[in-house]
Amino acid sequence: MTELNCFGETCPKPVIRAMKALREPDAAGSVRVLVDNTVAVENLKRLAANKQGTAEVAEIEGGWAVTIAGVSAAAAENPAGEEAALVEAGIACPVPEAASAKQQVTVFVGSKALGQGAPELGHILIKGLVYAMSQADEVPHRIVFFNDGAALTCEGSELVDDVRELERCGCEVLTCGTCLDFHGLRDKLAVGGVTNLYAISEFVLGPDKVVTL
Amino acid sequence: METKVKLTKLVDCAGCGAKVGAGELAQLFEGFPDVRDPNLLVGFDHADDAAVYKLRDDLAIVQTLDFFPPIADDPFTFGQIAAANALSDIYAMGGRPITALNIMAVPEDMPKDAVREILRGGATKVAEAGAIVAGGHSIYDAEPKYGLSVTGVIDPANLLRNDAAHVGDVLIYTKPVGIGVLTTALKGELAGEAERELVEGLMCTLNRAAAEAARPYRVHACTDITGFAVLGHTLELAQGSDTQVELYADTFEFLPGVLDYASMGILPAGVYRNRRYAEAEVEIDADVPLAVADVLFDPQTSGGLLFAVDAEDADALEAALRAASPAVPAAQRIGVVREHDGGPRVRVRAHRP
Repeated sequence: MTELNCFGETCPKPVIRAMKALREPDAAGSVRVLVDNTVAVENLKRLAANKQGTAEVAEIEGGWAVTIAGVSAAAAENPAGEEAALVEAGIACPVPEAASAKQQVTVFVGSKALGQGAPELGHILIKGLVYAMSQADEVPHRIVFFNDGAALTCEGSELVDDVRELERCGCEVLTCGTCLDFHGLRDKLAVGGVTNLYAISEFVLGPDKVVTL
Repeated sequence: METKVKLTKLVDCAGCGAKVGAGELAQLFEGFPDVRDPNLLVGFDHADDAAVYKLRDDLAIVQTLDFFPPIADDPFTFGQIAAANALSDIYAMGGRPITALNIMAVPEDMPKDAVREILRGGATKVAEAGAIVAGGHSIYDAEPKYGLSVTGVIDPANLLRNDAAHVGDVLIYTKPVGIGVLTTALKGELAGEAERELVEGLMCTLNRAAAEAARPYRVHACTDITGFAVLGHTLELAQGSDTQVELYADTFEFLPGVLDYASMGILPAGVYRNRRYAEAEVEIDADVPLAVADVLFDPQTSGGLLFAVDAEDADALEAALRAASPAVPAAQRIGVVREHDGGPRVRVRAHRP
């Protein structure tokens, strides 16, 4: 069995090391963690329950040995679990990752207007569409603003509040950094994070359905 | 400006998680000289957010002090969070901040630009609050710490205490819950950049807009929810007002992922400290999941305001808070104030009836 000496380590560290150790095939579903504080003991007990395993606590010199056992390979890999059950029970706000196994959607927004035609109309349309998405039962997994669309997440854009609502509902909001720099908007970003083309290439080639507006 | 210091790597406890437990504090002050002054409207004995001293019938000063080790890696962000957190106590009393003094401890070898950025973060938030940084004090210390002592003013007639809730009041809370768990997940590198921005943005948000939105309504009691968590601060409100509070787990807005992190045991030490302190007076129904209960004991650095508002004004206050979004990040109607039935002061039910 894998043994981890976590003496001198606080809060998330012992749990994170135990999680990583459980993922190793050598661990075979169990790990013994030596800790010197009760917070770590309690946190490790929760980890064991989360992974549908057992936790046994033994006092040792200067601390405790927590033995987590009976964790299946699938449970060791799976980062979530309980939250889905909570969403079902109506206790948690649905977060997209846990909500369902349905294919997730990444939306790309490359312009300040939706469709060809009068730019004013196009802008009204994109504003309406982003609002509608923010009110949907299932918001997109991710929305990426690029090219002229980058201005939509910046100060002065009428869409900022609706994009914030999307983000609050669990949609990852990103804007292309190259585009922000090109338009001199890097300091003006008002919602979401900044991304780059390496990450964008992963989004395009990744498992999500990709929709470009 | 490049400041490469990862501040949270320098500390053990982050933010309000570093707070000394409420029960421990009460013991520390036992047997101290008991000096009374009728002008001291709110002092030690009240476990309230700030001290209030009456100068004239229509004027009192509100004083508070708050500081903690870094809760964000970026010095400018840390400065802003510390200031928003310190200013919050003034808003929780219904006051208006006027001056602030910096309190700072820094390692001697910390880059000067990082130190400057912390102070700039604080100054930025104090300015946003409409107050002035009037001075301060700094010392060298192995672990960085920053915060402010803030002075505000208030007409005593408008004072919002945390011990004056009425039976029948509705409880409304203004920030999503789970700040401590999410910052712990960030420290453990489990959460990503999007979550960092979300939680840091939340901690940097002043409670000013929430306090201003509430002014026209019959708010009987108010407190900010910080280190002692939702349940610790609610308990203080229930005890102080000699009432009982009923909270509904399904009415809370939890930050994304925190219930997952909580169920995996990514919990800051403060969760257990708060649990120990409040447990005897808090009854959590068996059908409330452990992860939810844990997050309700989670320290909320720079958390939101909790209002106990007259039931007739609850809809209007909720609407006013929602209208002030995003300056007011949330408006959750988390429970009600009831007559104390002799049992635990706070009861958590899974669902709102």
